[in-house]
Amino acid sequence: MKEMSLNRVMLQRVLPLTLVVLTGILLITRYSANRIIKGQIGNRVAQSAKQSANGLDDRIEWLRESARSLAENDLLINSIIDKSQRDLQLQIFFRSLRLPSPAFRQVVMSDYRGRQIASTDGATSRKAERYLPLTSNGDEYFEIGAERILIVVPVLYSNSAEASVAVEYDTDSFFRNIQPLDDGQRLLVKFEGSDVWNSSATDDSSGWISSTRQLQSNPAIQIERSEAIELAMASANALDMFLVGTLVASCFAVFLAISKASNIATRPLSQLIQQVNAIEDANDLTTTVNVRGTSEFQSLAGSFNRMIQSLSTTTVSLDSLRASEQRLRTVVEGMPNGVVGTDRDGEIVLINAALEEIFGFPREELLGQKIETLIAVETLLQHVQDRSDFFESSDASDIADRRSLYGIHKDGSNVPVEIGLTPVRWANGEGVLASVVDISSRRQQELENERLRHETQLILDSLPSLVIYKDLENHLIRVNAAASEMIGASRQEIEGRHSSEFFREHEKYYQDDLEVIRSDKPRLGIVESITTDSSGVRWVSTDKIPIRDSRGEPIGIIVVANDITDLKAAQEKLANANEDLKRSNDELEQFAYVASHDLQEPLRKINSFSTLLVDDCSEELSDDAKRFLNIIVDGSQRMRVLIQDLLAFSRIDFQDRQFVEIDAHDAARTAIDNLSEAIKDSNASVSVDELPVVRGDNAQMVLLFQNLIANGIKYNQSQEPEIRVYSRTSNDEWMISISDNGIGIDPKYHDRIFGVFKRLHRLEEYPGTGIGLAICRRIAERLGGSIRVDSKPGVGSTFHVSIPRDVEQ
Amino acid sequence: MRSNRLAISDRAKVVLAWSIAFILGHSLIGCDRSAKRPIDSGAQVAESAEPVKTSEQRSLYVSAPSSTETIAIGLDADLTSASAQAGEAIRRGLVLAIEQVNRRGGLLGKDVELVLRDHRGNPIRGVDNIRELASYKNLVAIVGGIHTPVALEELAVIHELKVPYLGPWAAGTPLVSNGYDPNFVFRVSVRDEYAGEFLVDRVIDEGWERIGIILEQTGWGRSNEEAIIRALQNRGLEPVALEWFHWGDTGITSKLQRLIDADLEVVLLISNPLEGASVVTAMARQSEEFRLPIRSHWGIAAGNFPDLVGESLRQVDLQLIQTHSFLRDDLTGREESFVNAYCEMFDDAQSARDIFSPVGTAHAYELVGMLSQAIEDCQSTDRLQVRDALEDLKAYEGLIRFYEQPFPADHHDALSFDDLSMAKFDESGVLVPIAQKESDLDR
Repeated sequence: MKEMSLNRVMLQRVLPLTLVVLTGILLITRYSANRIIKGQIGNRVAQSAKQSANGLDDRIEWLRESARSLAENDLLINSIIDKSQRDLQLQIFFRSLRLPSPAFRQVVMSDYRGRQIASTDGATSRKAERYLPLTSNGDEYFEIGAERILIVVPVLYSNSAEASVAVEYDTDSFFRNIQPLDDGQRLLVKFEGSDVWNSSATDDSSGWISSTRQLQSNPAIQIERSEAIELAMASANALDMFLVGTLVASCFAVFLAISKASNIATRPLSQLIQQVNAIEDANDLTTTVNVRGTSEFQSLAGSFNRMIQSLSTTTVSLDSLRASEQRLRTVVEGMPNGVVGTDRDGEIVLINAALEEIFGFPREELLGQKIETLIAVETLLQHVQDRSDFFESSDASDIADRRSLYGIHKDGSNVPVEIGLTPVRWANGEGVLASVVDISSRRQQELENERLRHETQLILDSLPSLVIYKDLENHLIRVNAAASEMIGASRQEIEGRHSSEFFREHEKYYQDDLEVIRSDKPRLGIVESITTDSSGVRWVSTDKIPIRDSRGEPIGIIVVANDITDLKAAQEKLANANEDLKRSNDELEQFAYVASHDLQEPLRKINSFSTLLVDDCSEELSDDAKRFLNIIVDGSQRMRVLIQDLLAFSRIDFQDRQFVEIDAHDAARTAIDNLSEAIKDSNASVSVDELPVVRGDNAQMVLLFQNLIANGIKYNQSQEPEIRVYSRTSNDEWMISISDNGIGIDPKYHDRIFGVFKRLHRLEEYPGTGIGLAICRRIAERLGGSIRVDSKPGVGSTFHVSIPRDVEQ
Repeated sequence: MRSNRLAISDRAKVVLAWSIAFILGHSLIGCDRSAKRPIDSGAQVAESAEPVKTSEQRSLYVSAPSSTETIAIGLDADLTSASAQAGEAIRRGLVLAIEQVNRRGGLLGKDVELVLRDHRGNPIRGVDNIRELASYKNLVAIVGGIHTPVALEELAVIHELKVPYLGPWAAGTPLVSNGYDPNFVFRVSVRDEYAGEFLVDRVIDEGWERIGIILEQTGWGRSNEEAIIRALQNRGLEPVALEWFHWGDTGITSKLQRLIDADLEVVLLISNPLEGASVVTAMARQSEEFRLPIRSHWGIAAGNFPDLVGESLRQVDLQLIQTHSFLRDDLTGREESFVNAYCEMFDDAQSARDIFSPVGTAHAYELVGMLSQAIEDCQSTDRLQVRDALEDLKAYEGLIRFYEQPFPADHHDALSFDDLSMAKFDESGVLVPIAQKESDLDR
C-alpha cells in the first residue's frame, strides 16, 4: 500500500510536468513546420494560377479564332445571298461541322435579326437579343455562363454584318478538359465578377489556399486557383501524429519508470525526482540524470536519460520536412538556368549549380554576400534601381520583365546575362528569386554579326566602283560609299528607300534588273547613263548579278557600276579624231586613185600618137626626130606602167573586199604559175613548204607572193636562182618567209626599199617602177601584219611577212 | 421598329421634305453647292429602322409614308453595301420621275412619295423589307434593286402579299418568268436569256470561239449560265472552261488562272462589282501576252467599279452590256430634258457624263412613268387593279423608247434583245457606248 501511495505521489508530481514540457515542444515544432509548408504551398498555388491563366487565355483565344475563321468562310457569306446553297449545302455543312474541342456543343448561324439559318444541332439556348446589338455593329460577343461558353462572330460582307455565327461550348467539359486537377486542387472561374465554374463541389472558401489572376487577352475572366489546406498540410498532420505518439510513449515510459523506481527505493527516487525537477526547471534536454543506487536505479536513470535523448531527437523526426526541402533543392539544382535567391536587402540566400557555373564562384563564397557582388559596375546602378522599383511596384505579383545585365565572373570578366525576377516569400520575409541565363554566346554572335557586317561595309566602301544591292521591289537595301557619294545622300538616308527616290530613270533600271533576275544570268558591261539630282548625268559601265537565297529563290540583285564618264569623253574625242584622220586619208587615197586613173587617158594619147608618128610618118621624119620619138614612146610606156602600178597600189586599200580564208600555199602556187615564164627564162627553182591558212584577200595574197618571188628572180645574178617559200607559226602570228640567193641589199637601205618609187639600181641594170615592195608592205599592213627584210649583199635576201592569227578585217 | 413621321401640313411640303432628304444627303456626300430649296422648319428627316452607319446615310432614308393621304412607292435595294451606287442610281431615277408627277399635280389628286429600304444585297433583309413596305396601306408598288438573288427570294412574299414589284435592274430570267399567275413582277431591264444570247453573239462576231465563263454562285449566276450555254449550243459550241465563285470568295485569282490556262480567247464575266473587280484586277496582273479580253454582264457597273479596279481598267480589254446611254449624239428632246433635270436636281452632275449607272436611273424613271399611267388608267391605287392596268398599258411613249405594249400578260419584260448594246469605261471611268462596228475596228 505504501508503494502504491509513493507511486501515486510521484506520478502526480512528475507526469503532469512531463506532459506540459513535451506538449510545449510539440506545439512549437508544429507551428514552425506549418508556417514553412504553408509558405511553399502559397508559392506553388500562385505559380499554378499563373500557368492556368495563361493556358486558359490561349485556349479561349483559340476558340474565338476558330469561330472567326468559320465566319469568314465564303460558303457562309454566299449562302446568305443564295437560297439554294442556304437550303442545301449550308445545312449539310453545318450538320457535319464539328469544332475541334471535346467541349464543343453546337454552332448556330443566324440572320441579321438573330433568326436561325442553320445549326449543327436542333434547338438552341442562345439569347440573340444580348449579342445582336454588338454583332450587328460588326463586333464579337463573348460570354461564359455556368452552362455554356458562347462566342458570337458577325458574318461580314462589304463591311456590313449580314449574319452571325454563334459557337457554344460546354462550360464544365471545357474547363474540366483543359485543366486536369489533382485531389485537393481547385479552380474557380469568374466571368465579369460572377462565379461560373468551380472544379470543386463546394464553394466554401475556407479550408483553401488560393491565388487569383485575371486573363490578359480576356480580362472579363478571372480564375482562382486553390489547394486544400487539409491535403496540402498532410505532412504536417503526419508530424502531429508522430509527436503525439512520442508524447504518449514518453509519458508511458515515465509512468513505468516511476512505478519501477518506487518499487526499489524512495531515496534514489527522490534524487531522481530532484534531478528531473532540475531538468524541468532548466528545460535542458541535453542534461542527463545520475542516480546512485542499485543497478535497477542505474538502469532507471539510463532509461530516463534515453527518454530525454529520445525527446531531444524528436526534432530529428522533422526528417520528413527536410526530405521535402531536399526535393525542392534538387529541383532548383537541376534547373538549367542559374537561380539565385536574395532577401529584401539583396543578401544571397540561395544558389544553384548552374549559377555557380555562370559566375565561377563556389556557393559557399556567395551565400550571405550581397547580390551586387555578382553585378558588373556598368550595370550596377541600373540593377539597384531595378531592384528598388521591383519592391516598390504596387503589383509585385507580376513577374518583372526579363532584363539584360552584365554580371561579373570570378575571373573578373563581364558575363552578359538575362534575368527574370519572381517575388518570393522566404521564411524570414519577402525576397526575390532570380532566374539567370548566360547570354554570352548570343551576345558574341550578335557582335560577330555586327563585325561581319561592318567588315563587309568597309570592303564595299573601299571599292572605287558603285555597289548597290537591291531587292525584288526595287528598294536599295545596301550601298557602298561610292554609291552614296554619287547619289548624294548618306547611306542611312538611302538604305531601305525606293529606287525612284534617287534615280530619274529608275523604271528602266528596274526593267533591266527584272530581266537579269528572270534569266538568272549576270549581265556585264551595260553602258548607260545615270541621272541623279546631285551628280547630274554620269556615264557608267554596269554589271548586274542576280542573287538567290540558299533555296534558290531570287531575292535581289547586285549592281556594280564603274563611272566611265571621263573614259567616255576621251573615247568620244579619240573617235572624232580617228574619224577626221580616216576622212582625210580616204580623201587622199581617193585623190591618188582618181589622179592615176585620169592620168592614163592623156598618156594613152601621147603614146598612141607618138607610135602613129613613128609608124606612119617615118619617111617624113629625120633620124633625130625618130630617135626623139622613140624616147617619147619609151618614156610614155614606162609612165603607163608606173601609173598602173600606182593604181594597183592605191587600190589595195581602196578596194573594199571581204576577207576570206585563204590557203597561203595555194596563193603561192598561183603566183608561181603567173611567173612561170620568167622562172623558165631565168632557170630558177622555186620551192614552197607547208603554209598556213590565213584570212585575207586572195588576189592581194597572190600579188604579195608574186612580187617577192619576182624580186628574188630579178635581182639575182646566179646561174640557178633559188627561191624558197616557207613559214613559221608562233602563238599570235604566222610568219611567211621568201628567201633567195640574189644580189642582196645593203642593210642601210632595208627601210628605204619599202617606200614608193624607191629604187636602189639604175633602170638599165634592173628595170621596174620601184613600187613592188611598197605594194607588198601595203598588203601586209592591210592584213594587220608587217614586212621586213634580212639580207647581206652578195648572199641573198629573205623577206619576212608577219600576219596576226586573229586578223579581222 | 421606330419610325418618325414627317410632320407636314400640305401637299407642297411633302414634296419639299423629300427633296430636302436627298438634297441634304448629297450635299453631305460631297457636293459643294448648298440646298437649293428652302427647308421647312416642320420637316424632319426620318431615321431608318435599320442600323445607320453614318450621318450622311441617315438622310437618305424615309422609313415610312408621311401620311395616308399620299401614294407611296417603295424602294427595296442595296443602299449602303457593295452595290450601293446602283441603289442610288435607281433612287435618282425614281426621284426625278416622282418630282415630275408631283409637279403636274400628283396622281388621282394625291402626292406621290418614296419609302426607302436597304437590303444590302441580303435576301433575308429583302424579304423583311417587302413585308414591312407592303404593310403600308397607301403603298402601291415596290421597286427593286440590282440583286437577282434577293428578288428571287422575295418572289414568294410578293405574291403572297400581292404587291406589284417593278424591276429596274435585276436581270435573272426566272425573276419575271417565275411561274406565278397572276404575275406581280414587271421589268424594264435586261433579261439574262437575252444577255447570254447577246454576249455570245458579240464575241463570235469578234471572231472568238474559245470562250470561258466565270460566274457568281447565285440564282443570277445560274440564270446566266443557262442562257450562255444555250446560246453557245445553238451555234454548235460549248464553253471551253467554266468557273464559279462565291460572294466574299478569296480564291478568285486561282479560278481566273485556271481559265487562262485553258487557252481561251475571251472570258465572259457574270459578277457584281466587288468580285468583278477582283477578276479584272487579277487579269491585269497577268503578263500582257496572257491577258484575255473580258466581256461582262452589266452587274459590275453597279458600284464604284472604276475606283475598285483603278489602273487595271486601262490594261484589260473590258466591255459590258448596257441598254441605254445618254452619251449619244442623237439624244431625243425627251432625253435632253431628262439630262437637264438630272443636273438641276443633283449637285454632283454637270453633264450627261456625270450620270453614273445610267441604266438604273433610266429604267427606274421609266417604271414610275408606266406605273403612273397605269394608276391614271384604272383610277385606283388598289394593288390588284394597278397590276391589271400595268398589263393593259398600251402605246406608252417612254424616255428610252416607245412601247407598243410594255407588259403583255404572258411577257412582263418590256425590253427586248434589240435594246442591248455594249459599252466600256473610258479613261475617267465613265461608261461610254461602243458603236456596233467599233469592236471590229479594235481588232
